[in-house]
Amino acid sequence: MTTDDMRTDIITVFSEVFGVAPEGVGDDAGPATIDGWNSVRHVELVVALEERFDCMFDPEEVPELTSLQRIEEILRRHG
Amino acid sequence: MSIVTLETAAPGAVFDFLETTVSRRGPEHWRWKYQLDRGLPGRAFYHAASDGTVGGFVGLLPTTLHAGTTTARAAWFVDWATRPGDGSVGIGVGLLRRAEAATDVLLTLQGSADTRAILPKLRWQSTDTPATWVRRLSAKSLVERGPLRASALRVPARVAGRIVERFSRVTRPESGDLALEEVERFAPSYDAVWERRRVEFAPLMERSSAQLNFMCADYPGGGYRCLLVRDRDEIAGHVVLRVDENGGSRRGRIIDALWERARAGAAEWLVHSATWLLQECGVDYIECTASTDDLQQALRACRFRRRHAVPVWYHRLPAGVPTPDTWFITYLDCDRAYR
Repeated sequence: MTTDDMRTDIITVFSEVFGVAPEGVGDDAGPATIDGWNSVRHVELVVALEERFDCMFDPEEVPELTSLQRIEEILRRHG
Repeated sequence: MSIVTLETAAPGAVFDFLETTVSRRGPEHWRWKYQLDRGLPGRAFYHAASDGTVGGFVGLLPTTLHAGTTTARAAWFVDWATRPGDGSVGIGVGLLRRAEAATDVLLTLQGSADTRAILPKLRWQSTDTPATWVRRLSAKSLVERGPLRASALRVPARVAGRIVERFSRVTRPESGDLALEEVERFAPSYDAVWERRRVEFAPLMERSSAQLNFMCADYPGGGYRCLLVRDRDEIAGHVVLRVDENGGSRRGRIIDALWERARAGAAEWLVHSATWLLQECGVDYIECTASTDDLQQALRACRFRRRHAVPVWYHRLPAGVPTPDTWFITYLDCDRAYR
């Protein structure tokens, strides 16, 4: 998967979970910039990312999934 | 940032977090619950930021699930909390994942509104089989919480409550072959009885002398009464009772009981005896959590009424372990004093 493909897929997941338009998801997307990014929505994001990328995040990684860039980095580690 | 196992030498910030965010229980409670003086690691985890700030906590009450010939490491998760604010998103789920990795079967009972919102999204399931049953004894309890509470006329309701109370009094159980004997703690010899009862009551969680003593006799706040069930010269099971104050009322609880399951009338005699003992302690009402037909029938026969379900939440179950709707569950598994 190319960097662009991965980013597009993450943005699609963001869009589905948070109900925002894909073009509204920028590099700074995070709990402070996306309305409704609370604990419950974060759970939905984690599960949706795991299903989309067929992976299981480590316990320490789950709280780190709070920006587009960080999610990309962590998903790269999972191959 | 990292998830750290709770140990005796954990920074004071962790215990401050527990006292301010979870509940004010005092250091003795945390040392008991997480067995910090006994050097038993892996019973609780916390999230620590690089500056030492504690972002969240999850604790485990480990036990063993006995299901026929299968046993599994199990744990009830308790004290699951994160620091309030946006900065803690994901910490709770990270801690829960860490807890899942520490045991074969991770469970919780009831759960807060947040817990009930989050667990289904993590593919957890629940069963509503266990329920809390209540028997009201005093006029006060009958008027304030019982069937007379709808009365618009408080004074007549109080008078009616006193009349109903008189007819609600529990009679002393007949003395026969069965008797209760109060003990300070359960002796290791009780384990032979537990081995017999375990086969009859499975699936259920551990109720060995060590586990019963940990959960009841050694509870730092005290208040649990441990009783052996005697059948003539033999010990046949146990009962644990508790009396405490709740919202201005004196509450009695039948925390746990095991008996010779095939003995006709034993369950009803046990509930009757426990109810009478608690009445003699002056309780306003008695609660019992039950999940199986025989205990629920005994409660109904002793004029308890089903009040509400106590959902059991579970994630994954090892092969061969039946779903929790078939388990024997009581307050011993879910007493709020432990949470």
